[in-house]
Amino acid sequence: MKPHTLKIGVLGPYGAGKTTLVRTLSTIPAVSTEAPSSEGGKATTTVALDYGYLDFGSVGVHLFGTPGQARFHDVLDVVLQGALGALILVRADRPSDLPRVRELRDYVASVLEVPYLLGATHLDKERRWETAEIALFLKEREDRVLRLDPRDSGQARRALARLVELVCEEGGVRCR
Amino acid sequence: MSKQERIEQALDRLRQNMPDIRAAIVASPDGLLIAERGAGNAATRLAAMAATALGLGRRIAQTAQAGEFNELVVRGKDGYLAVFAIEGKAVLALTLPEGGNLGLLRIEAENAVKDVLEEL
Amino acid sequence: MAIFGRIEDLGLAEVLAFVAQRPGRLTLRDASGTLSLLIGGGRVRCAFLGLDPLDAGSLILRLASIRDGEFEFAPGATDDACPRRIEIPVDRLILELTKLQDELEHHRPRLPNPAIRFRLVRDPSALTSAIPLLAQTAELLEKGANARELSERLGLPLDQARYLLFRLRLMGLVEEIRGARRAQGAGSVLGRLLRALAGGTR
Repeated sequence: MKPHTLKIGVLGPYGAGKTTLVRTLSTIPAVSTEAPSSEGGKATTTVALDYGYLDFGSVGVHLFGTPGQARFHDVLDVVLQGALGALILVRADRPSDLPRVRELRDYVASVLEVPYLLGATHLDKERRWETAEIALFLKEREDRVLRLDPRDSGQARRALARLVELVCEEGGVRCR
Repeated sequence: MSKQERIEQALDRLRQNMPDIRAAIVASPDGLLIAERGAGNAATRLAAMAATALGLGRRIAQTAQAGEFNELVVRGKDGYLAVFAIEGKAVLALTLPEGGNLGLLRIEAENAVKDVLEEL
Repeated sequence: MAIFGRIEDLGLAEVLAFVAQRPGRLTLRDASGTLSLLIGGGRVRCAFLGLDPLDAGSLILRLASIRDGEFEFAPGATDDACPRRIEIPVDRLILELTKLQDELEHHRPRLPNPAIRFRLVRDPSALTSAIPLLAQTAELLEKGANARELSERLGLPLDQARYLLFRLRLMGLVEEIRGARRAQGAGSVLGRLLRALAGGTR
């Protein structure tokens, strides 16, 4: 029997943890298309997309991680076509990324009109913003910005579940 | 003359040998623009797209057991984009209108790739 | 926990608009010194350059000259912290600042995408004399418009339209219109996914 499949996009600025999140959520070995990074902080960066699949038998989720930099905007359009929703990651220790995250959120919410949730990563760093402050800056409800360690399977699944719940609430669908 | 200027000169030569070429872009594997001729405002976006094509092209070539990735062509009704690997170091992207000679393009592009490789 | 960052990344006007929502001390450090603003009730109660108190005019000029530097905001009560109050509404500071720093290029990295739609969320009449183009665009913005539409309908260069929306957002006059299309996926499938995620099934 063919499973019902859904699609989720994982977005966010450079170094936010998108590739890691796709790998954590995926029940198959995730595939990345990367290149050596000229930008520092990491050895490689995604240039096409990360792909993973979360297999629950009769239902599955295709996971697509996108490149973070603004120059790769076109990939976003392709990835979010027909997507259930998007998880937008933001580093709590990099306030300099906030305008970029806002831009991503605006594009997803206002232009593509795809349901989304924000995940704050790197909360283990000593000097960082709190999720409530990130929410305030982005003019989001506090419950739209979750704590998310992309390496943690439990947190990753809870974030995905919360996104699905949001889709049900906003889309007026009864999810039983 | 800087490295960028020498690469731009190589692109100028390429466009002289093949006047059909509209835009010529050299980008890093992670999508940053190195040099361009004729791309105008679209340069940054095309550079990123060329890197995406390089990344995907490599993976496809590997999966299809076609050997080391060389070239990817996207053809539309009104023209096409050809992307050439510059070994592992960079990528050359060229746009042409419909009707261009792909065989000739390949030869000229190969020369340009050799020129650019010397600068990288 | 303090809010911190670099002034050139967020833009000074944006930093002010953001921190003004709560009482606290805003510290701005650049090459020429340390500026402290004590904020409460959406107003700057008093301000200091180093240890020297500043009056309203000097504060505005000082803020307008800051380019790069760090900011830090420590929330907390500031009721009793000012020996002599100047009480400038932060809104007014931002307005004066954007007038003095009227450079599109300065804000270019933060201009909104031309496709993002914005809508008026406050009555613009008080500010139409202070912000050029607001009067002409108010009607369009009441229904909601993006920079591309404003540019086409009013014959504005696209970047000017983007800059206008950027400033209006800063002043709290407009907000992005966030829509959500119908859910992709049937309720039963989504329900199954939710159960699978909760159950830790593999």
